[in-house]
Amino acid sequence: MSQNNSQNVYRTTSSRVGKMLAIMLGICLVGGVIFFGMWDYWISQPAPVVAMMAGEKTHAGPAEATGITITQDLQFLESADFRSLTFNALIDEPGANPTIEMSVGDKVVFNVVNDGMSFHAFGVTKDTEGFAGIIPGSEVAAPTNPLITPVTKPNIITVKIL
Amino acid sequence: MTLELQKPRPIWQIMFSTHHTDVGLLYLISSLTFLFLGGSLALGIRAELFLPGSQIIADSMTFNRIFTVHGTTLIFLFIIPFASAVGNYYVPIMVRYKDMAYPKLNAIAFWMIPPAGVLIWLGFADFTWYATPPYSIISAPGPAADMWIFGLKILGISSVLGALNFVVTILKCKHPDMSIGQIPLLAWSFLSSSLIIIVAIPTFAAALLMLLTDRLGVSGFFNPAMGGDPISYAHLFWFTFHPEVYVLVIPAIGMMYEIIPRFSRKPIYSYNSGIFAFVMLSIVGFSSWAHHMYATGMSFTEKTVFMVGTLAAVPASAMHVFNFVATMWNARIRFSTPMMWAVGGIALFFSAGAGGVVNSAMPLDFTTHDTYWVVGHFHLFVMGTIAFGSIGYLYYMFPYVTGRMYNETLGKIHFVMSFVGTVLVFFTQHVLGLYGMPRRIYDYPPIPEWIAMNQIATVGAIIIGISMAIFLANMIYSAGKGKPADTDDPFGLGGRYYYPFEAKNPSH
Amino acid sequence: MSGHSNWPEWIYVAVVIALMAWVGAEAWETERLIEHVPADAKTIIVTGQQWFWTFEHEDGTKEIGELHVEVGKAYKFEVVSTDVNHSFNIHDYVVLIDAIPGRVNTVWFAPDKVGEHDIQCREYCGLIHYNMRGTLYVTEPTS
Repeated sequence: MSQNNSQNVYRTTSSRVGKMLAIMLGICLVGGVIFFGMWDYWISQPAPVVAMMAGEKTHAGPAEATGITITQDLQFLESADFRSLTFNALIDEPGANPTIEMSVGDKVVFNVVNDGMSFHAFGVTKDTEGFAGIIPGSEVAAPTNPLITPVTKPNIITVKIL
Repeated sequence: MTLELQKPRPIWQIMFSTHHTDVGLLYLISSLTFLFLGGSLALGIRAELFLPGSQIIADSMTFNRIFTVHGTTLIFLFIIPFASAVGNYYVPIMVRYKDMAYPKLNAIAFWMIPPAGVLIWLGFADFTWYATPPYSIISAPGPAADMWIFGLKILGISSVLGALNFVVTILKCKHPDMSIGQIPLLAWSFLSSSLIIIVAIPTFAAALLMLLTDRLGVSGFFNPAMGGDPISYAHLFWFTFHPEVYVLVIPAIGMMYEIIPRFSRKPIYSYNSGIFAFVMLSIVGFSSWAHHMYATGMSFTEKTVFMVGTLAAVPASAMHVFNFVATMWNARIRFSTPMMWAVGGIALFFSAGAGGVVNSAMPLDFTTHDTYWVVGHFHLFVMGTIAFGSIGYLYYMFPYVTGRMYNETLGKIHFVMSFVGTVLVFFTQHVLGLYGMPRRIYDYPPIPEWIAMNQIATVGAIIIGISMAIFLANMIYSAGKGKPADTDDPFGLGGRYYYPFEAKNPSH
Repeated sequence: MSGHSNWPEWIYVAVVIALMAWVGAEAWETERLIEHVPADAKTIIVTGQQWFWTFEHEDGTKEIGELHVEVGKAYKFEVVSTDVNHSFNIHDYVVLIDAIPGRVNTVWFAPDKVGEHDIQCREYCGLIHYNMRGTLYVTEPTS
């Protein structure tokens, strides 16, 4: 371009380049702090449609508390051939899959440990299969953020049984 | 027209400026930042895949998020903004106009990019850069998914605004003495890619909105449980994104049209073929989208139609390769850094296209679909052609923008290492795909051939990473302390350097 | 336009077009042949879900994660999904078709050698996509 021939060329300086880099690095650091500081939040919520697809479940309001608390330890186990998934003992052994008897208004605390060989999440449900019917509030970990093995993650959940 | 126009200005004045060179500079800095951010994620992926089992990433969810953000960042936050940087800086100069047609809109289009980038990076969604339903509706967790959707919506709007600006500037604001058949091929490349953007992006904008409402549960476009069809998203997505890959590659080829004739010290072999090839590619590019969907269960006729559409675009791309080779034939070539990048880019463009012909053949696609063959193929395009062309052009415009010269030796070392690394990673991945390794997997069974090829690819990636670090150091140091350049002919080519077209009325 | 002859370019473009036409014709013919499902192919219903494969044979036998077939026989897979997109793939036999919820996709093959092969998922489906694998056992015919 002919007009450039007569124009003086002004160039930037290292200090200005340094200032620009400092600004950008600062933005990245602040963003990193926010992201890592809230690590669990960003992938914590299933889409609203998932709850809608679970259908209309009649979860009536909480009952009046009786003051009784039942504690149940649940140790999740997988058999060696992965065909049996049980709590507390392998299938057909005594103590497997405990039954909890409680009355309306009691509080139950589940301490869940994943001693299986892969990732799992848990919840309380009325259905015989599937996880669409898991009672909100009774979830231990989530499908997208499961319990990694073998880590003890006791989770206190309060379930009001109707 | 170097970085500081009259005297050193405060940084905030550059940031709020609407002048096309300032906006171009902002796009440049932002796109290079995201190049390095996205590239670091790639290094993380390759480090993890060095061996079966967990290396540096503890769980597959994190890995899934990393490759999603890697792809999203490099496509939407590096390649497209970098092209906008070059376009903003040079299109007004090329058409001999004082600025872009809509300077304020231009600045607004740029300033949409940082917030969108923040949304994408803070959320770090996990559903791949395609966001295919039903996974992205019923399985992908929020708010990361929703932040990604909003981020991409903003980026789409930014792209369309920029494209409108380019089209109006080139067609309506060009110098009255200049006919459309006289603007440089780089300007033609921006005209083509902008027209494609205007036609193609609105489809994806609609698809994104539908994805969002599906996630909220108020609609069931793609959710089978609510009567929708996931394949319709694939059609909408690929209708945009197949032409979009031409949007990505056409500016890079345009940049090579600036570099190769000049460094060959010969005029381009056929300017008209260049125009024809750009226009044909833009139009025919709309006819091939469902070659990405051969495995979804389409009928034989549908697959045939799209195969024909895909193959029809090959001659247009091939014309560009011929044009470059014919230009370099018997020329006194000066292999400075920009020329090396451009020529390397053309060689890799040719290999990428050759591999692509395999994918387009319906039965062969069943071997390669969703394996590392596809990963190698498209990376030869985005890295081998587009990044190579872009980086070469960055070296080319460096003296013009900063008034200084970068270190030529380091530039050549950067090229050689990147070329070797690119070949090591992406050619190997073609073979890896033939051995059956699927894409997007955090871990793989200990098959010896897979392990060996993954290790070769990781070594290649590390070589690229080191070369990029050298590049960054070169750019930063030379911007402030490089040798002052002769802005009329920084590369010692002899003759005019930029835009030899002279207005008939010299006072314009 | 330009002062040179451009017959090399015309020849080059003609060669490229001829090459693409040949690729297209061969691909068309091959696909036409492989899409023709033999009449005696046995149907196997393949269900993909997050994150495992299940199979149901014509006689009602169900298998999880493993598939047993006999050498020399033709099998037609009807592939479905219960949740998100998956893709049923037996790479060694180039069996590949997506499992899309809400539709049934069909692909067939006829294994010609006894052996074991990997079944994998070839469409990203989330957390354990990388391990959504199975094993195909091709055995001698029992009868």
